[in-house]
Amino acid sequence: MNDDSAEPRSAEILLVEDSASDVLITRAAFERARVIVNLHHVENGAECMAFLRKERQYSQVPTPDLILLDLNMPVMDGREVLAALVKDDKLNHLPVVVLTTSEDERDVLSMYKLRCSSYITKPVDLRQFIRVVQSITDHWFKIVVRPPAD
Amino acid sequence: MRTSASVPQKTQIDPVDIMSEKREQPAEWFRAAVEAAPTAMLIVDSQGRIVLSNNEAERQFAYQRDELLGQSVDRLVPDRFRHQHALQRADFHACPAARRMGMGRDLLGRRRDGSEFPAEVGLTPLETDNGLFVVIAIVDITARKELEDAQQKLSDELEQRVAERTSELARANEALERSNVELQQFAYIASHDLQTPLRGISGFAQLLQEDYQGRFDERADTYIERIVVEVKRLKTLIEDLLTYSRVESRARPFEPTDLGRVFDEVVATLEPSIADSRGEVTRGDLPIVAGDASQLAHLLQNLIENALKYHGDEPPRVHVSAKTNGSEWTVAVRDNGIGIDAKHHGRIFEIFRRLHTQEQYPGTGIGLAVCRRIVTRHDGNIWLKSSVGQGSEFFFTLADKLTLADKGNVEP
Repeated sequence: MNDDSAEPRSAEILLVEDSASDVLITRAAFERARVIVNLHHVENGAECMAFLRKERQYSQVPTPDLILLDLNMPVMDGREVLAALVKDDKLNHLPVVVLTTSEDERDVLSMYKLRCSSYITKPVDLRQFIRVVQSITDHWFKIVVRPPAD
Repeated sequence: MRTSASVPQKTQIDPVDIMSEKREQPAEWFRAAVEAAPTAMLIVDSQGRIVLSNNEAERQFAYQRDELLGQSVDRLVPDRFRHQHALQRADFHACPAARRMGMGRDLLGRRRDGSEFPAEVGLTPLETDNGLFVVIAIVDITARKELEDAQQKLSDELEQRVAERTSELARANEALERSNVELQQFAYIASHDLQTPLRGISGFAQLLQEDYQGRFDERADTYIERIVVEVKRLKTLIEDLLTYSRVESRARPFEPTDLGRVFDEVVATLEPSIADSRGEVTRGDLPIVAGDASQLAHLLQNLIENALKYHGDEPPRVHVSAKTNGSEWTVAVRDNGIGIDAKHHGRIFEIFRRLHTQEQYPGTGIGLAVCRRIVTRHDGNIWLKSSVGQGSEFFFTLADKLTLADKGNVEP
């Protein structure tokens, strides 16, 4: 997804998540994973679609390299976002990592046969969360590694 | 008596003889036979008048003989049937043949006092030179009717009870399905709704610990550390509870499963902890059984892990073996560990039952409860033989056949 000849740039990630705690922890995990990303955040699926279509206040936002999508949200949930993305020719190429709280959710999702690039079960333990974030960035981006803090 | 085989009973006995006072022997014999018959008998003439009655008839209808003779037979049926009876009598006279009266209908006799009784009535025409007579035999079927009614009532009751039981069963089935759905919902709530706030608490406590260690005072650091430790424990409890509920909610159909292979895989998984404890886990010949392979692996793993965990001064020695009685395999997991006091044997399989403090042996007390749940789903039993200092031997049974109805997937 990245061109080796291009100037390294930080990855643009859109986090679609309604839990303020999870947003803070996800941000902290990205920081600790020592990767530089621009983490954009919206609170539900409807905002997510507006962001991707650059509507309203989102006219100037970049197209994200990756969408981290929570499943259970008010207004428009993750399943509905997946369904809407599939139908949109301009957006259906975007990689989506679905964040689930449990493997049971993943089972439910597979029953609906919804398209997404991968599933990540959000770990309760912060260390594991950081490892997960690390693996996401390792997998999806040419990473910009920050120098060690000390 | 002059008799003839001709049909219908064109009798050689002239009723006029009977009615007359000629006292010829055949007529006398006939009268004696009729008189002694255990059945009520009447002879009526073509007008339906009673020309002869016997003792039993008088007893049944509670009339004196002279009250019957010469009277219309119609008076022996209830008033409300009298008109119809007269018409039917006329029909019979038009086409006389020996038959049972009132086929398919309940006939009623009327006693002198107006009371009624169910009766079975046979009619035999007697053609004579003096016209058609009819021999009527009447059997009081009160007792039989009562028996029939009682049988009918019994059979109705039985049917009703079957219907009641069937609907009870349907209700129980419904309740079972509901409780299954509730269990699934519970598993979902435990895995999702409880985990979300837990992730928040855990995450922020860890962030505090990592970013602010030493910036409050020592006591604050201890408190934060306790939060991190307790949240981890809560997380383990929730995961264990989920494991327990998944024995049913994630059940897979039974298939022939090689317990020997299951054992080998489990031991491979446990290799690090076996090495850590300098233990040894061995097995004898293990059978192929019908079961849920991943659950049987879980079962063996829990038992072997326990055997490794609760060891004494000696390095743990664990041996798994099996023997059959032809219908059932008994699998034994024997160790040389610390053993379990007999007073705990009864409750050791209960969920969250623990015999040790977290400091002695950490754990949530779910392992053996899951074992029992798995064995129960496989229609087996689980128990142990153990005493303190003598090691423990856990046993469980599995059917010795390769096709086994899965209780979790009962055919409708």
